[in-house]
Formats: sequence, C-alpha cells, structure tokens
Amino acid sequence: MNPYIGGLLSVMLVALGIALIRVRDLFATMALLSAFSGLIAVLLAVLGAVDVAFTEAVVGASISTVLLMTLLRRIDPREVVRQGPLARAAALAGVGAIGFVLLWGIDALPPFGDPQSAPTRHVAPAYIERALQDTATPNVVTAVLADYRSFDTLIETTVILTAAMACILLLGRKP
Amino acid sequence: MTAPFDSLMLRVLLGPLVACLQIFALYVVFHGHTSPGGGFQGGVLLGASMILMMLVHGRATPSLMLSQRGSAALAAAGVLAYATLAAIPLLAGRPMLDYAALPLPSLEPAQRRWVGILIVEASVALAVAGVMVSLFQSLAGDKEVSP
Repeated sequence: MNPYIGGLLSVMLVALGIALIRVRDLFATMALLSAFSGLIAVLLAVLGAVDVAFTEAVVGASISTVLLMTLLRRIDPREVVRQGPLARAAALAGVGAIGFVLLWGIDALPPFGDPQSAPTRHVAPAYIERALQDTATPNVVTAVLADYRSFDTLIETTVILTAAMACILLLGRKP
Repeated sequence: MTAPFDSLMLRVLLGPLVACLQIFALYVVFHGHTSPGGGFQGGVLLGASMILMMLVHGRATPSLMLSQRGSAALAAAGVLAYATLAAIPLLAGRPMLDYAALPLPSLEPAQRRWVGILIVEASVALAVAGVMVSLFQSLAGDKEVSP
C-alpha cells in the first residue's frame, strides 16, 4: 500500500472521529457516520480486500444510513439528553482502556502481507490453488463463501432472516 | 409508511434510477463468480432500489413485493431456496451442500459446483433484499413524531 494514501486516509478517519464526538445534531452524526464508512471502504479497497470494501460501501455507507435516517423520524430531538460529567468521564475511561488493550495487542499481529504468517500458511494456499479447478470460479472469495464455507453462509443468511423477524415482531405494523 | 415526496423531478428520475440500480444489482449477483460482489452485495442493492421507490411513492407504491408480508415472504423464500439446495445432495447419499452431487448429469463436477454457487448467490440476494426492505418497513412504521 502507498504510505501516503494510507496516511491521508488515516488522518481523515481520525478527523471524522473527532468531528463525530463534537457534533450534537443527530442528522449530522448520521451523515458523518456514512462518510466514515465510505472512507473505511476506500481503505479496504486500497488494501486489496475488494469484496469487503464493496460490502462496507453498500451496507455501512448506504443502507444503514438510510435505515438510521428513517429512525430519525421517530426520535424527538428534544428528548436527546446530554450525559452528565461523571458518565462522560466513565465513558472516556472505558474507551481509553479498550484502546490501550488494542494498541498493546498490535505487536502480536503479523506484518501486512507477510507470506510466512499463520493465516496465509494455513488453508488459504489450498483454496487459492484449487478453487478454479474445483469450482470453475475465478473469484476465490466467491468460491470460499459459497462453496468451501457454504455452511457458514447458510447460517449467516438464517441469522439475518431471524434479525428481520425480530424487527417485524418488535416494531412492525399489525397487518 | 413514509409520506410521498411529490415532486416532478423525483417522479421523472425515479424510473431510470431504479432501473439502473436493479440492472447493476443483477450484474453484481450473477457476475460474482468472476468479479467482486455476489449475493449479499447484490441483494442489498436490490433492496435499496425498492426502498428508494417506497421513499418516493410512499403507500401508493404499485407492487406486491413492497407490502410487509411480501418482503418477509421474499426473505424467507431466499433462505428456503438455500436450505433446499443444501439438502439435495443428502438424497444422493453425499454430504450436505456438496454441489458436485447435484443432479446435473451433463456437467463436469466443477461446473456443477459453479451452478451450485450461482443458486446460492441468487438465494442469498433474494433473502438479503427481502430483509432490507422488511427492516425499512418496520423502522418506518406508522408512528409520526409530532412536530
């Protein structure tokens, strides 16, 4: 990855994060969240994970923004209460602790694109070598998702159906 | 449901926009074998196109699909199609989801897997589109915030 592009995206992400903390208006918060997701999608595409970037762009940046904006019609802005100083200090401490643990663990991650790291030596080479002759599918990601790991995908699809059913039961109109 | 935003611009532009979105969604679903994307992303795009129609037309949307029952049935049908495909190899005494055991005698095993992947992508797209539309309908609801 080009370090300038990565650095620029990281700076923009941090700036968006700070803006998200500072902004008070819910509509603006949702617009910023959408922009944040869009930048994450660009970052993933730059890193070469095109399928994940596509998913982030359509789900994170687009459809969840639409769903959140729909929710906004049900929320009265005057009911949104700003937390007191004690609660904010507790939140800051919690976020700081999680951030510290994540940064502490960063050493344990393999370097980006390391061919000797455990994930790249385990089953990935077998998938990459055999996907085309096994499934006649050039996109290895599709072959893994829909064939080698098809059971996962089946259950994932069931999970989102369950989520939709829960939403209908909790919020839906009576037919 | 969402109140219609009546505007000449929206009414004129909606048709071509939705048509382009849906064609792109189908391309993403059925070209997932060779390009990025697949059932999930294509399904979200398909759902987004329907949500766009509902945002503009509101209740008056002229489609069976866009009722609460219709979208829930679509989501369930997608999962059911996937589960049926998963069960077919069991009839031939093979493991679940082994697409090489699909009853397509004229095709090589690899091509049978290719067909299996295609069916999976299409079912996932149906399920995800139904779920997205259904989520939107539940969240939009009837309740309005008093101004």
